[in-house]
Amino acid sequence: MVGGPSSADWVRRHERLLFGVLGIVALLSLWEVGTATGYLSSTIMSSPTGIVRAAQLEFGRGEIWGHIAYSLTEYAIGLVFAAVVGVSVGFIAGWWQRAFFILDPWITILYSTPTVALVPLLIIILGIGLWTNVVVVFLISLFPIIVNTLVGVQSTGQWHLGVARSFGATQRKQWTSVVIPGSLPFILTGLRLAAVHGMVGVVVAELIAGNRGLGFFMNLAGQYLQSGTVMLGILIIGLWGVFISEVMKRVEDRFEMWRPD
Amino acid sequence: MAQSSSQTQSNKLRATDIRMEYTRRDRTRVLAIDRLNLETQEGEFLSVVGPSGCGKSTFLKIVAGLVQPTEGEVEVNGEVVTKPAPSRAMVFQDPSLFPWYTVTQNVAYGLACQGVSKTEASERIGPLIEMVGLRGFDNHYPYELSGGMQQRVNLARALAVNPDLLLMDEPFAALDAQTREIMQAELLTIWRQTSKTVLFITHQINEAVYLSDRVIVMSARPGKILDDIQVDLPRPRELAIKRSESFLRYEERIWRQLESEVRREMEADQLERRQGGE
Ligand SMILES: Nc1ncnc2c1ncn2[C@@H]1O[C@H](COP(=O)(O)OP(=O)(O)O)[C@@H](O)[C@H]1O
Ligand SMILES: [Mg+2]
Repeated sequence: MVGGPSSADWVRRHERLLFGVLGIVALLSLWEVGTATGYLSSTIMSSPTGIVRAAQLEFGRGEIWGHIAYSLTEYAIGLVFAAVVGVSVGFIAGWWQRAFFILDPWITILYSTPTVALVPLLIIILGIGLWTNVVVVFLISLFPIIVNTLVGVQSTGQWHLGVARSFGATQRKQWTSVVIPGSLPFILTGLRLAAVHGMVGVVVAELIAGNRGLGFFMNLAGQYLQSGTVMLGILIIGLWGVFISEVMKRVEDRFEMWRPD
Repeated sequence: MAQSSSQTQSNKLRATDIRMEYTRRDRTRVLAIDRLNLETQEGEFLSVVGPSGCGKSTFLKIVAGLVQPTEGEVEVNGEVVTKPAPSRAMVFQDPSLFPWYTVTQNVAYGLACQGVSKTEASERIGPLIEMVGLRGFDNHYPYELSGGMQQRVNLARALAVNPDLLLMDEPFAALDAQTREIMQAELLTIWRQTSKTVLFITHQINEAVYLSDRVIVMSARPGKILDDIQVDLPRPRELAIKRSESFLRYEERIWRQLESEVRREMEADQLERRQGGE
């Protein structure tokens, strides 16, 4: 009886995690049972144990590490460039109205163009390889950063700037004490979106035009009908996505202590 | 005593023929203030009451140096105001604290703008935070504070730069009635301790009479001065004074003048809306 109420408490506190795990386990079991009994085709959709076997094989061989590292490199380079350029352009366009008027049509046009559609053009310009994929990551993550930074700067009220000016804040101080802290939550949102979009960008670019990397690896496995290996790739990308958004959430929490949740 | 020695010295603030015309986004013009003349004495607590939209905030911003009047000029300590200065600190209406700064950082803001070092700033603001009753909340963010506490921070932030003219724009308007009364009494206590000249904007007659040495009554837009009333109630004032007969007489006198103005303003508003709707 002693354990009764406290274990009920434990369940309530971890409800979210518990049910999440439950859902995953249930689906995996169905999948496994379905393929084991032949109701589902394991050739087409592999099975959980099939993925484990593929993982053992691939990590045993070790080549997969090279592909992962390659994709991560493209991702990191593209994202860092996008962050630097995106935040700068966002600040400029958010602060100077004329700059906004000039850039706005371009941002609108390019934001609504599927970046992937530019891949054939990029291949013509840069050839197949690292830089084409870096540029895809860059372009795909650039616009969420620009747009969010821009909105952030525009929405830091004239109100707080007026307060700053009334205390004699210099231009520089107005930026460091009002514009930047006020737009930081927006910038971080932009970066989080960019981080996720960028990941999609890497994989898609490699699927279309890669000679290395995770996307290429999956494409190759697909051509040999190794569905377990393809699924392994998907799993790695999924974990990567989860990791990235977790990290970004932490960063946002750290910088937004001043905001009520 | 030294009254004759310098007429300009005792005039803390002198506003001469202030006229303020705004151009709206749609190019139409609004005359917010028309020919406003005003003088205040050193150490005086002066309130300005008027219906909303009559140009009170505009006038305060002109005195602060945040906006330039279309015509006329404001002199503070004998110097024409052209831009903000720490000697004229502003306590704004409700949400003007920097939400990303803690109480300490907000209060120290004006000092930071003047390049005062962090250690010196924290020494100087310590007693201020104490005075406004916020000790122990130093590292809280504004969202963690009640409205009354936020306005204390706001007041402390203005006092920190040691201004000699304190400009307050309806600082208690957003507070509930009880908190507002307590804040009024506390403001008077602090004012006695610091002996600053205060220019206080409000649309509450009760608040103006309770706090002030002098109350200026403004007309509906364009704002002009309708009345200038010396409030000869003894100080220090307890909140109970608000129920005294002489207090009520001051209130009555001001209310009578404002009533017709508020009516006029409402009618003008309706007319404008009808014309705008066409
Ligand atoms: N920046 C502005 N542009 C255009 N009109 C304004 C501006 N600021 C104030 N006004 C107009 O001037 C009038 C006076 O405003 P304000 O000084 O804020 O009045 P109060 O503080 O007495 O309510 C109002 O009609 C308002 O709409
Ligand atoms: Mg106002």
